[in-house]
Amino acid sequence: MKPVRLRMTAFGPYGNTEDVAFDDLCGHKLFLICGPTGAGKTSLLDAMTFALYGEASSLNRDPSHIRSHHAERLTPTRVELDFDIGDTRYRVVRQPAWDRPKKRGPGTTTEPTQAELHERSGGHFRTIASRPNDVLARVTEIMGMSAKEFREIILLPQGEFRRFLEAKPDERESILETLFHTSFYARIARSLKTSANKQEKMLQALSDKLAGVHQGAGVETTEDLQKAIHTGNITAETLQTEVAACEQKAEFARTALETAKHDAAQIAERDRAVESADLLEATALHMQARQVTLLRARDALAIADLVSHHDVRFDAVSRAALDLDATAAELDTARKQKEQAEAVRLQQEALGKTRQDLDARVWEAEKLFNPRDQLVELEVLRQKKHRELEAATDAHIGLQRKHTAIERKSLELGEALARERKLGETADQLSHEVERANATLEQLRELDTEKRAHAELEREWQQANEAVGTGARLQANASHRVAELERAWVAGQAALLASNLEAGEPCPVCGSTLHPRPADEVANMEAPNEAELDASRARVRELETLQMQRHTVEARLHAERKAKQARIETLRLGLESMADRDIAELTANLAELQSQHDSAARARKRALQLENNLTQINTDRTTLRVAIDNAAAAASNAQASAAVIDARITEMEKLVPPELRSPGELEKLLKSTRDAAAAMRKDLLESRERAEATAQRAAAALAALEHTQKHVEREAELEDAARCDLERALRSRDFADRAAWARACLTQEQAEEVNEELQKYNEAVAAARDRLARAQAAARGLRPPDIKALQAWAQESATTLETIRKRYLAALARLDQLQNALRLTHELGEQQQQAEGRWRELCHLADVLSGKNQRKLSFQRFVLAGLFDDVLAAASHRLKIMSRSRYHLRQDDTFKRGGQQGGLNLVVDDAYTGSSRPVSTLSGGESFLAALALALGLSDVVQNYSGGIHLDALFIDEGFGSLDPEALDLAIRALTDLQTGGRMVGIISHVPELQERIPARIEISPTPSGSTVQVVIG
Amino acid sequence: MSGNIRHALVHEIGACVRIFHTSDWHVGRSLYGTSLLSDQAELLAELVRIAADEQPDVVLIAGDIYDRAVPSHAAVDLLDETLHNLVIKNGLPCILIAGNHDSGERLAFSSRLLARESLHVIGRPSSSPKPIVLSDTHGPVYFFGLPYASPGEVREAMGNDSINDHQTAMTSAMNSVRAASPHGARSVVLAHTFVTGAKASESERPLVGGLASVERRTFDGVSYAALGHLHRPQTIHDERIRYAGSLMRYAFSEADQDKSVSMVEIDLAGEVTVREIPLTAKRDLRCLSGSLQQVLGAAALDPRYLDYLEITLTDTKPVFDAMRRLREHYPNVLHIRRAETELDTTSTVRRDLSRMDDRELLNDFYQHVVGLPLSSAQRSLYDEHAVDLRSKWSSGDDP
Repeated sequence: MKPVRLRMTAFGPYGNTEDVAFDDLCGHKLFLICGPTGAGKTSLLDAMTFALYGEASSLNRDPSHIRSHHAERLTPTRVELDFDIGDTRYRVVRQPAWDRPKKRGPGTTTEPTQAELHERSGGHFRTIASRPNDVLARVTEIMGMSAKEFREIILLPQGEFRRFLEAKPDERESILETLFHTSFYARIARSLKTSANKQEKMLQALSDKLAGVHQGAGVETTEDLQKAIHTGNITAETLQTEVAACEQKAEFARTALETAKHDAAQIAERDRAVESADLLEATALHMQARQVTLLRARDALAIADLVSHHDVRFDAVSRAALDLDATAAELDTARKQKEQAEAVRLQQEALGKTRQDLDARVWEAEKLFNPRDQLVELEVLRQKKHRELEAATDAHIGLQRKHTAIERKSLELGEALARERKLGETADQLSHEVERANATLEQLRELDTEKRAHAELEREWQQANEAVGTGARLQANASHRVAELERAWVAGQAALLASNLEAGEPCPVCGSTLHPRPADEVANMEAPNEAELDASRARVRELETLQMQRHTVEARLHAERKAKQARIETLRLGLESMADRDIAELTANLAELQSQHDSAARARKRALQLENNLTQINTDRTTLRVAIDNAAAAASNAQASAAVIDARITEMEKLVPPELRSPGELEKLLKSTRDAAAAMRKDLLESRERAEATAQRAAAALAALEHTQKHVEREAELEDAARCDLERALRSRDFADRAAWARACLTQEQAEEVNEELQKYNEAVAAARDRLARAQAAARGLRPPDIKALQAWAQESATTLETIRKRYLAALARLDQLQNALRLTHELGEQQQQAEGRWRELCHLADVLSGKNQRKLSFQRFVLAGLFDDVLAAASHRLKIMSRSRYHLRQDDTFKRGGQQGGLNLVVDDAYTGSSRPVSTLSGGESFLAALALALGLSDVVQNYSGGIHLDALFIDEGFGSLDPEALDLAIRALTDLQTGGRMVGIISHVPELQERIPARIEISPTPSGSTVQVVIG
Repeated sequence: MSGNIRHALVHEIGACVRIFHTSDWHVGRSLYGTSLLSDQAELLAELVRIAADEQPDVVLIAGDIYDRAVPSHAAVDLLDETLHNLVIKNGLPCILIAGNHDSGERLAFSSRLLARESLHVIGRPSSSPKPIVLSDTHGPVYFFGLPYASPGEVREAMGNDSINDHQTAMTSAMNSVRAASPHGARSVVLAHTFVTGAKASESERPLVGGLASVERRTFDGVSYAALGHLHRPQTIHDERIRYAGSLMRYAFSEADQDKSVSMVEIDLAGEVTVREIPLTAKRDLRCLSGSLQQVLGAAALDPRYLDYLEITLTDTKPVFDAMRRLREHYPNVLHIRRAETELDTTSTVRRDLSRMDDRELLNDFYQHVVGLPLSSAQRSLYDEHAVDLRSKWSSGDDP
């Protein structure tokens, strides 16, 4: 198996999808899988193992934890491995069962395990298994090994590489058995064993059978059997002689009995013959009588014809008489019927008048049709007219009412109008007043405003005044200050000058040489400098300016004030007395006036409206009047026409009786009347017909009667003739009358019977005579023997004979039985021998092949040992390199315990000590090298074995850390050598040295979102 | 650094430049599990003494300084001491390059600082190697160090994708060396590689990365190529290209090699003269052979009984506890070998099982466990069952 490409999604530490393309190793067969601890190095191998078998790379790793914690919630864990077996490329995809978040709703749903196996043919992949169980089975088949073997041979898992090295021989056997397909050898041993067991059973069965045979024969051993046979023979002979004697005796007795019986029979016969002859005599008379009967019968037969002929005639006559009676009866009936029918007919004829009446009624009824129809129409019309009349009347009344209402309304409106008009007249006046009030109010308001403004101005002016005052004060102060400062400065200057004064020196100011009171130094301290002076002067000037401004402001304000005052006066004048009125009051008044004015105006408007309304109403009234008139006219019209209709109706009603007025009544009457008439006519016709028919029948009956009478006469004649003939014949044959003739008749069978009887009798008589004659002859001179005694004797001898015979036969039978048994015994003995021989062979062979032999080596083990030798040779070759010829691996049974099976025990020869020791005594590093050598050796041999599995790749998970630097060098050299064999070797190791020594690497880097994989060369 | 030429300390040299060429010290190596550090310490002390006597202008160590990429602390101490003695105590400038056993990056730690004290360590390949310049009375001599690197590393360093093996890597490096050395001037290159035509020894670790050998004409254009990697001191074709050889014998197959350091003189014309100065180890690697009795007998008379020995026992019968007994007399026996013949005896004759059929196997098996041949009755009995089983098996019954 050589991996080509591995793709892992959400697997172990790989959160996303990571691709490892082994092709990227660019032909480097030896490569390193490196990365920090926990990055996912072993997980890479887990992924491969999982993809193939659904299991982890070592038993310590739980496959249910393979789902990556870094995985997206909706991403399933999935591993895909493309690999080559020989020339065929396969792809296995496996997705373990996982809890997927539901697409709808909370919670998860479990997706089951999925697996697929594809095989590449012709450039694309086709699926060859698609259920996890099938995939596992197929993978195991094409890999040639199960997951367990995979972990021990192709993948040496971390910490477990020693498994195969240190395995017990039985385990080793099972692994090698799988790899080299040697199970045949184990099975053949088992098959032989099974056969041996079967054979043993067969042997046992034979033995049992033999025992059975002996038992059946009633003996214990074969010897007894033979003795019994001998005895039996003798007994049989003796019995045979006895039998012969008895037979003779019996025969004699029998013969005597026979003879006696014969004699007795003869005598008996003679007696019987006599008896029968006598019997026959007794019946002779009876026989004669029978003869006579027969003769008479013959006679009767002769005239039978005549008798029958007469009978026929007699019957005919009777029949004819009957006919006659019948015919007469018929005639009678026919006559009666005729009379009845005639009577009916006459009745019917008599009803002529009624019929006429009926016809007249029909005609009458027909006449009424027209008037009735008219009546109906008129009725309808009348209804209509009445309704119209009603309607017209109603309309009229309604209109009148309306009119009344309108009148009333008109009056009302008139009154309202008058009112409103009055109100409206005041409107104009009010509006004037409103205007005036408005104007006054305006003025007042203005005055008020002016007053306020004036007050404001006053205030401002006051302020300005004050400001001017203040300003003046400030100014004064400032001027004082300036003066002070000047004085001070002067003083200072003076002081300064004074300070420089020398007595006798002229003062710079006045020139005096006397300085009585020089300026004070103290004042000098407060002397301002030029700057300060200037500043205060400036301040004064400033203030002046300000003061001027203030004055200006004040003046302005004053002027304004004055103006305002003037204005106010003007306004006051304008208002006169109103000037002092309250604005609020005035405003209220104005409002009042305004409202009054408004209502007046509204009243005016309403008046107009009312006028309009009134006009309208009057118009309406007029219209209404007209309508009323029309309505009245209509009503009277309607009435008139109604009256007309009524008159007509009355007329019609005279014609038609009330019960016939409604539609259908007349029709019914007409129909019934017509029907009655028709019925009557029918009756009449019927009665006529019936009368005719009956008359005819009566005539026919009369004719029949006459005919029949003639027939009767004829028949009587014939009968008479026949009677005469018969009487004649009877007399000639001596028959008294017909009854006697009848008595003498015999049927054919009866006659024959009698005949036979007679014949038999005759014969019997003849025979009896013969018999008698013979019997007498035979029994002459014989005497009756004593049968009983002879019988008893014969019986006795027969019984004895029987007994002896039985005994003899029994003895023979027994002899036979014993001889059979002997024969069987011989046969079985032979079979036993054969079977035993075979069994022994089978047992021996089975045992030998199963390992029960001197060397305690089974067949399979033997074969495997040979193979294992090859493996060890290859392994030792490598180990030689890695241990520099110190160690050599070998099969040896020296260290096995006594009862264990031999073969497949592994020891290591140590050149340093010259002795061998079990492999478990190697140190950690040494055992790693040995295990590695063994794995390599195993894969070498399996590769070459025909039909063997392809072990094109080997993976080693750690173990190099246990090697010292030299050993590491040797191991690396050994692995590097492997590359020439075309085998891929992948190493997982954290040993830093390896990273420097092995250029082709698969580097695994952990990141916060899962690990990533990268192939690096160099 | 601007320009191609780095002015390190320029040393004054005598008439012609004298070079002390050594390589492959493999400090910290062990052999058959025994550490050789004490021997290496002695030999390195010897080397320092020789160097102190010879007073060369420069000491060249052409790679494989350490035995491993991460050496033990004792090894580091030893190297530290040795270099200190060479450079500081004796004032000898040293140029050393990394070999395939060294980790170039680790070795080059503080190389810039060290360069100030005339210890030039070149651990990594560079696209433009800068020479160390020493001058003698005739003029400057340019020394270029080309440390060992995998072709991949060289490819990256040079930025040249066509480098995929050691030949192309070395060619490319030498091109830049030639470009960097002024025309007509003397130049010396240190390299750690395998040159075609050279003799390899057992103790060398093979180079990885494509074609591992380099043509000797790659080194045309320099006055002298001081090579390391092969443990046998040898020149390739002429004195210009030379391997100094390893510090001591590192494998028993090298027992016949004499180890040495090389004193090389290059005059103005570029003529090279080489003188080998032997190195003698207190404990040599030697091979003995004979029967156990013989060897044990000879032990008493062997003056060099402390040597590291590989003993080949020629006994045909088994010998027990050979190692212990030998070590009683030769304390430093490292390895015992047995003569080849014994190793092939196994309990059964090797067969090509794939070609034998089961009946033959049965024969052999029976003979082996019972000691008698199979009778024909037994054979037919077996055949019966075998036929039956085979037909069942081939019809796909699960075994």
